[in-house]
Amino acid sequence: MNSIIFLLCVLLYFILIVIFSLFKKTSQGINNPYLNLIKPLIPSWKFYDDFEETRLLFYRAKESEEEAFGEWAPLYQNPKASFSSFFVNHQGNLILAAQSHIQQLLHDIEYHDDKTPFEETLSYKITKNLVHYAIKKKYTKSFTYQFKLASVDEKARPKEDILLSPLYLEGQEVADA
Amino acid sequence: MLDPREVLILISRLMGVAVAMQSLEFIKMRESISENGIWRWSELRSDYEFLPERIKKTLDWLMSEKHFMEIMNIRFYTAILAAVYPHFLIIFVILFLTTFLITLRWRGSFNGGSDYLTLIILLCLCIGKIHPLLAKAALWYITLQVISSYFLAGLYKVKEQKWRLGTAIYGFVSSPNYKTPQFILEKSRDPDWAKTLAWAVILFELSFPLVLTAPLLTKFYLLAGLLFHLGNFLVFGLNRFFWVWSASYPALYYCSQLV
Repeated sequence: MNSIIFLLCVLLYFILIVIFSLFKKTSQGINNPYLNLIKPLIPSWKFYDDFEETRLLFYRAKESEEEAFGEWAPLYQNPKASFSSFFVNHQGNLILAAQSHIQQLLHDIEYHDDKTPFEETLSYKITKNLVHYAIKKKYTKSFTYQFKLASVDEKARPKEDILLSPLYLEGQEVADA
Repeated sequence: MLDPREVLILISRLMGVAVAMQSLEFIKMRESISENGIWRWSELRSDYEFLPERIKKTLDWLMSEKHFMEIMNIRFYTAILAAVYPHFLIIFVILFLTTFLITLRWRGSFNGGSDYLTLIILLCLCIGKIHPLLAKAALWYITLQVISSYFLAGLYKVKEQKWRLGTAIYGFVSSPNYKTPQFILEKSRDPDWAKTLAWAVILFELSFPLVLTAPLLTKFYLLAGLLFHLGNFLVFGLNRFFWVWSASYPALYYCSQLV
């Protein structure tokens, strides 16, 4: 008898989930900062449900004024799975965290209220840090760089720009950019 | 009949292993949280302006590169202790609180779902160690969350035409975000193969609640779940999901015995 009640409760729980999933989400979600702190304890369990175009970060950089910028290059690609990365995968997980950040960035672009420049938002600052962090090891001298967030075509080439940064000189904005 | 406290001990050991590996990853990415890195606390703290001054000062102290790394070291050794001697409540309180700090440091989560399930399981281990009755409730809560994780993921997929047609498979595996093995990439170009795989994933996830219904089905779903997460690691590099979800499986096995 107990088992049947248990099973019925579990069945009811999943029926309710299906019913609630039929309602379309109409707002940007709960906006209470205190509730947001405990959001990780109430996960939505949405995995691989983002079917819009792939969006990637691209950068271009140069070491001297005279030099021309090259082609836009993708900022990162996940390293190939290896036996050791099954246990400790810090590089792969860093890139996955960067991808999660892109989702947050897209959300913030969508809901930005124009009261402050977007460059002053935390998401933008993290994106800029991310680009600088990823490319700084490639250059020995000071360098100028620019980045953009863009949707990509089937060959992962930038298609449509979503966000284009000004030029930066190794961490600072170039005045006349 | 299994003793719920014994099952919690097994989950505690497995979580100890999983959290130790996660902590090592954080220790290895120290530079990314420094003031020259990506996630700089001096910038991130603006997300927590609403908190009382005293809490903000505490967070400033805890989240600085030096102290945060010390916390990750403590987390690593505590996780090893959890795997070897998982009997003390305080071990899991420390692991829960340090995991919670990680979610704050990364604006909600570092690694999405795996952070969420890590937090949920650690919270359940804390509660379950207080009283045997709570141990049983904790195992049921873990079970419901894990079944929901599969079921909801399946539900979101089946509502999307690209998943129903199978084209979503190529869309994800061909994304430059992932270094997918070449043979999987080539296979997923075949529409029949991609559609079959898409529906296999959808049906596996949507039918996962059946894990509770019969002993044979329990074994089948748990084994299929391990293979599923192994595949996700090979294609998407999601190693953390394998370890954390595997750690939850003894709870599912226990609950299936009760039904």
